[in-house]
Amino acid sequence: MKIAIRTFSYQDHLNEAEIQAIEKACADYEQRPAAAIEALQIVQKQRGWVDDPCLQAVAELLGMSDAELEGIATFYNHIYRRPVGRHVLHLCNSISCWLSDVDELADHLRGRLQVEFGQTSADGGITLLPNVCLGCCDKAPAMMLDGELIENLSKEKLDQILSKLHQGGENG
Amino acid sequence: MDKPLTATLNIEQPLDLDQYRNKGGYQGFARALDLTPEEVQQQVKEANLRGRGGAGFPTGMKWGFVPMGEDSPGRKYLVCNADEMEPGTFKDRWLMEGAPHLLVEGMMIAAYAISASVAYLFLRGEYRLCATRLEKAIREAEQAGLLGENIQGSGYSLNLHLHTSAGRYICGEETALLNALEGKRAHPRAKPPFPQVVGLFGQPTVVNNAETLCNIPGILRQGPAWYQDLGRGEDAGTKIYGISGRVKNPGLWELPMGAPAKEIFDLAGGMQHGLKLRGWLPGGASTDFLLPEHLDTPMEYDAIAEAGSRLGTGGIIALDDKHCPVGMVLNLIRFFAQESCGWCTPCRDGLPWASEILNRIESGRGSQEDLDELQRLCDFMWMGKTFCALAPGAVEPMSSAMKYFADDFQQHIDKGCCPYRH
Amino acid sequence: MIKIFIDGQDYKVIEGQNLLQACLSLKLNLPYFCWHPSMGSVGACRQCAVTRYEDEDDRQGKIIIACMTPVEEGMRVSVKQSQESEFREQIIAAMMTHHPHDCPVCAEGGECHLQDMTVMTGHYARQFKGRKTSFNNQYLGPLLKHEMNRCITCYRCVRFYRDYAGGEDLSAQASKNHVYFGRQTDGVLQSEFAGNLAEVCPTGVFTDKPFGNHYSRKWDMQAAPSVCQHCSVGCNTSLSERYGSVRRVTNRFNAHLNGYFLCDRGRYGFDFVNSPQRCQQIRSSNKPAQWQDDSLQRVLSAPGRWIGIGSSQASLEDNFALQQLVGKDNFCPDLDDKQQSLMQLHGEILQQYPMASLAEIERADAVLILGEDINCSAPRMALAIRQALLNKARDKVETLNVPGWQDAAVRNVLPDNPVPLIWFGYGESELQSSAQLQLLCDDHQAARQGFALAGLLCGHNVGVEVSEAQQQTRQAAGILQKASRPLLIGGWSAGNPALLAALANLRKALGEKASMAIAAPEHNSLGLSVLMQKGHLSAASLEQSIDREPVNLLVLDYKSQSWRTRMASLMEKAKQTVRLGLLGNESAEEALLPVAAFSECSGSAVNYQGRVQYWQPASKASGDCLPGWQWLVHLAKIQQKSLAEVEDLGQLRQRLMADYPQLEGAWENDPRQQAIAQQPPRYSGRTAMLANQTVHEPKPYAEPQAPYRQSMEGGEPRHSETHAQPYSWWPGWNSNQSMHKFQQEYRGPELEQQHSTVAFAHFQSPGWFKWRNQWSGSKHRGYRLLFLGQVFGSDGLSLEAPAIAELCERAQLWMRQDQADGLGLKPGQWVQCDGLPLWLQVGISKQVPQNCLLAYVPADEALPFKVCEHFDVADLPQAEALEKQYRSHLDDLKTNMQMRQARLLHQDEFIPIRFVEGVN
Ligand SMILES: Cc1cc2nc3c(=O)[nH]c(=O)nc-3n(C[C@H](O)[C@H](O)[C@H](O)COP(=O)(O)O)c2cc1C
Ligand code: SF4
Ligand code: FES
Repeated sequence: MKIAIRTFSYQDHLNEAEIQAIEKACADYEQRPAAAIEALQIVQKQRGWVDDPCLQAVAELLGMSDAELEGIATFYNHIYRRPVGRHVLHLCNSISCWLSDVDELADHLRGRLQVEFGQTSADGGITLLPNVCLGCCDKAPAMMLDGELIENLSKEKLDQILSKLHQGGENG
Repeated sequence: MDKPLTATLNIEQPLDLDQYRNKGGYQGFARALDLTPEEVQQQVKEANLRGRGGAGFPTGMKWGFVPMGEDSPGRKYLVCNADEMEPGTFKDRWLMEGAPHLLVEGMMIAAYAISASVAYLFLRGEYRLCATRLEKAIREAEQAGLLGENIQGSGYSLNLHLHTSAGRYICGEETALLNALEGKRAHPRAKPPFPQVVGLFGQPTVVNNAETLCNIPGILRQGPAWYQDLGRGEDAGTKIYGISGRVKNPGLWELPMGAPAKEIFDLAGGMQHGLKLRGWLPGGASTDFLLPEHLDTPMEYDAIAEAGSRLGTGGIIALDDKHCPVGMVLNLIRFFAQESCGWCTPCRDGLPWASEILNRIESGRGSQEDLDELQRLCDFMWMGKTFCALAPGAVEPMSSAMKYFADDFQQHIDKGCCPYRH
Repeated sequence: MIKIFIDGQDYKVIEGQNLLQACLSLKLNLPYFCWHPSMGSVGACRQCAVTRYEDEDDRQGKIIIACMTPVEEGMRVSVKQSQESEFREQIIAAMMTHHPHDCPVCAEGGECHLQDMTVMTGHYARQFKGRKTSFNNQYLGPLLKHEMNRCITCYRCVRFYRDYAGGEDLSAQASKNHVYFGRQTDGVLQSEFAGNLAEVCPTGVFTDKPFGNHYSRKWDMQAAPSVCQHCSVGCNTSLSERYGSVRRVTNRFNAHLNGYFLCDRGRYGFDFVNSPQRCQQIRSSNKPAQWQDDSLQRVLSAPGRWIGIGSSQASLEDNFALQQLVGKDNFCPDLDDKQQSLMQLHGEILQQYPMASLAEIERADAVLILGEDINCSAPRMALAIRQALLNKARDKVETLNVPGWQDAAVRNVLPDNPVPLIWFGYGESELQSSAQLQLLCDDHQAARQGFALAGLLCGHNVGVEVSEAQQQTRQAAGILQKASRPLLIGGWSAGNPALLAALANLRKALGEKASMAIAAPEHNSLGLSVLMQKGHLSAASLEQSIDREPVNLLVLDYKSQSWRTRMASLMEKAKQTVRLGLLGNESAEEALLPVAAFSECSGSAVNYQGRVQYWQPASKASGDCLPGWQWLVHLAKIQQKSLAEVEDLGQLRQRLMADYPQLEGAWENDPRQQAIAQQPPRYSGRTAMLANQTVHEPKPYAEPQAPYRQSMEGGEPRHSETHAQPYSWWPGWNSNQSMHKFQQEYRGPELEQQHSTVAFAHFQSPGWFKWRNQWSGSKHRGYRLLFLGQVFGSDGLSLEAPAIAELCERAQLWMRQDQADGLGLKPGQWVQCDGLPLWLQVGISKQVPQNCLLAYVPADEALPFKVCEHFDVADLPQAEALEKQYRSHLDDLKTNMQMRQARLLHQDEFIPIRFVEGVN
């Protein structure tokens, strides 16, 4: 291992609140790297996604290598390593929702937003992502919008939600 | 009928600590503290509780593998598996949203029974409401001195932490869960060593499903004999059964172990208007299809196994006659392929392969060889050939569908299209 | 031994193994990927599946994974029935769903484990009809090429890189069938063992970059068994040559030393043999000359006293020939007095104690590293020490009835079951950061604490008062006492003989249970100390006498520029100098005789243990080059010395043995009589190679009397001979994984070992080394500079390999934060010490002892001082100029590399048959 002269510091990339929250998470575990997933979620909460400098900063703070943290960040579905829109929409595509014809809703969404799954609408408003079973099988189809569950979906209900978001987006 | 799991459940506004205590809450834990850990284990063994996480392993026996006594390691862990990502399964969420203190109490008793000093509640990240409610329950318990150092002067100390995951089905597999808790990629671990001996951070660890743990307070409070009697057939206690799909009234019910599937269908009001039942998965996405003729089977481990499937999580998924069985299997296999952790070859590369073939068949481009190849892939990903049970779980609905709905598969090939779309 | 049944036949196998190990030890063909003989089992790829049967009557059986299943008495399995064979074929089919069919352009082709296993399982037709995934590749530095599409996700790379070698910047990323193995961002892989990935990866994801730039198939190259020339471990290597240039180094298994892995200095450093700096022509007074030239002959036959200066980078034979020619009293082993005294002391210690092999090092259960930068001075040894750190975890899982080859289990319990690593010294390194007990101190203190520690262990003073022992030293005593196989590690890095003496005392105090390893700086440093046993001229007295009595110098020069700079002052005073030179044409000596490099002639060296190892030529020397000893024989003829009677290497070795009887047997098995093919059986045919240029068949090259020969079609793998393999190959096993066919047990000793003798008989009964006054450091003003090494940068010869030169760090000066604050310096700044012209970059480290600073200086930039007081900081324009200078240096290197490559490609192109009209 080459010992290189370092000039990078995590303090330059994480704010005080984030550092404190991460330190608090670390206290729950025997080893600091165990807080990795929580730390990434903490960073993502404010910023929407985890960019390279933040990833490297978290790695340094937790005493692990950035490659290792990258391996973790890219393993879990809900850590984003690419920018997302102002809103993230997770549409459940698992079996109970499928039986409730979620595919038609998916087509509807794709058409309205003009995006494929994994993409963000042109105005940067909404990122559309699929999600595995949200545990709302009795109220299918379901989706999660910015972390909030929305059940018993229909095209009409989706349209309402989208236009509300759209207004919200325009107003600020 | 006693419904120990749901007696204190309120989905709108769960009971706070005092309300829960007023209904007999934390009495089980108090009983446990009066006993030695080994005696608590004995009670659970006698109750004949079997794990509700899917495999039905006897809980008391699982605890029994943990090294106990003076020489045993100073650090031990209890982990509650509340990852619940099995499609068609939503029972743990209901319990946690409606009765958070029940789970916390169950975890405390279980932790005491194996002399664990730290417990983690591994919660799937999407369950935000659960997180808020559980967090509150844990804080209340801490403030009441039910958690922390030297609990109620017993000399026993326990810290309980909530860990919210960032989404990955494999995290539900208990050894992968341990890796996830250690902040690693959630690959399953080889067994032996079993987690009870070498688990979290290399220490003895027990992983139990959330529903399993919710059964514990009742057992301690009312005794093993009472618990045994709750069951209707071979298995003890009650269970949360659920049903989804095109039934009139999908939902969840607490019923005695061994209640027949038909009873659950009846509670759900039967199939929606104009639809007929084609088949059903008894306990989540990774169980074999059963047919309408199996509806009288008691929902208990051995009886369902005899009928050719697994009780799994007890979350029934009903397939109606307007949905294509091939499409359903394709949806399931896509899920499993997407959620494979990428560790072993049959699962990582076999599932996408199966998904590719199913997609071809479903869209009417399949051939007879594709069917043979699919059959081979079922064999290829079967138990013992893969590293963990994820891929064999995926094979269960696929191979049983190919058996029961062979005709549908054949029609796709013969007609060159999906018969359900025309 | 227990009995198991495989396909109905009974076999005896060793208990405790897994079934895959057992099958491979029995020489059965059972395919595998994720398992590696040195890395244990993880059960990821599922390729090694077999069927297990309950009993004799069980016809159906059950598929099990061989590498995860311990052998059991009476166990019944089948490995070639249809059930398991079909499953194994499907595994390959599944892996192949995304593997590109680019074998023709893949540098791995022809020695690819994936190809071998595919053929072995009988998978020959594609079944998957879907699309393939494709990945982006990363830039990983000058040593390795990345081609992720070829990955079969066996996880070997990360298991080697992270778990085995402690690297941090390679990881498995993403999931499902999109798992990606790479860095967080593009960049040079930081581990000095990264090059092993080229062999560890069973397919062509990681390939040897310098080789891949003009690769040849394994079957098109001549190979020869060789020994690494870049540190005193002397790892065994295989050199491959084609069309007159050495193409690459690969690992050659040696159960005592390198096992399956090399360090990158060894793997890539060989390229100095292809350097444009190589001396190719005889020169006289700095002008090309001929041997017969009168002026040259006059120089060579000059009367008066001839002093020979040996080299720890030249072979034992060359040094011995020089000693014979000039006489023992005129033979000076080295130019540096300090080095000579270390050489002598190391030799003395070797006469009292054996040194641990790397395999023995891996068995230790407590380790003390005393003032040595072992990560740099003997990288492969540091890797072995790393493996020892797992022993307690392995014992722990075994008490839980889990076999020690269950790698994941071992690593899981590792944090709670560490093998104590004690570190007395300074500087940061991979091992230092894993140390459990550390004492930050300079080399003097480390040595004194070592003496005090020995005193604590044996109960009486051995030269240093026990009361001097610090708290860490007392703790260390407890740890070492409790250990059952403690290991002591030291070396010459600090240039302090007291450290070696301290180690020897510790060894004596701990007794037979302890083992010890001392790293010397060069691959043949100890060869010189063998020759010193019969008297020599010390460097100090040479410096003194040369002023009084001008002499003729005869110098073996296998070294780098900085060494020649040091030699210049002696040359000025000498009457004349004759240099037997490897590198550097422009020089002031009266005569230059170009010598063959190690890849071009046979030779021997003595490693840190005193083990004599020899190598064979892979290619023919070009130009006027001759092996050093041959030049010396020619000189002896002119000067009418008895060495003139020597006709070949065998005779020279006879003389060597006669003079140094402890070398008896060292070359016993050198199979001079047999002819051994240097090419694998698939060799494309030597006779056709030049057919486009001439119909005359070129004469095959072979060193006179050397056993290894170019052949027409390549040879069959050996089975019963006693020589070292030029390459590893077996029918169906084209990659280096074929090794198990040549081993008694998997990972065990080779079936036919290359013989090696230890050149130091342990005839002296061990005594205590007393503390000598000259070992105590003197008081001085300012900061004492302690020197650190870098794997790429401290070894002069390897810096002639462009890929390594590119990785060479610039000079650095490390200090603690408080020291930097006191001096007003910041990390990243460039400073000069006491006005000397070398610029060093400031780094901050906690690992700097009191009153000292740590310095690293590349081998080709000498730093002529040991103490400094004043620091001048580079201002902005100066710093920019330095940056610019460095960038242009890197550009030069790149150009150099491209030119070299173009030359090689050109060379390649003009040799094979070309069908283009008009080209001759
Ligand atoms: C792929 C896979 C996913 C699993 N997911 C879950 C899960 O989400 N929740 C759960 O409790 N058990 C899950 N399990 C089962 C657990 O591995 C384990 O058996 C269970 O948590 C043990 O708890 P119990 O003994 O209380 O049933 C899963 C198993 C596999 C193989
Ligand atoms: S890169 Fe090579 S070693 Fe690593 S997983 Fe892929 S095939 Fe295996
Ligand atoms: S070699 Fe046995 S599973 Fe990979």
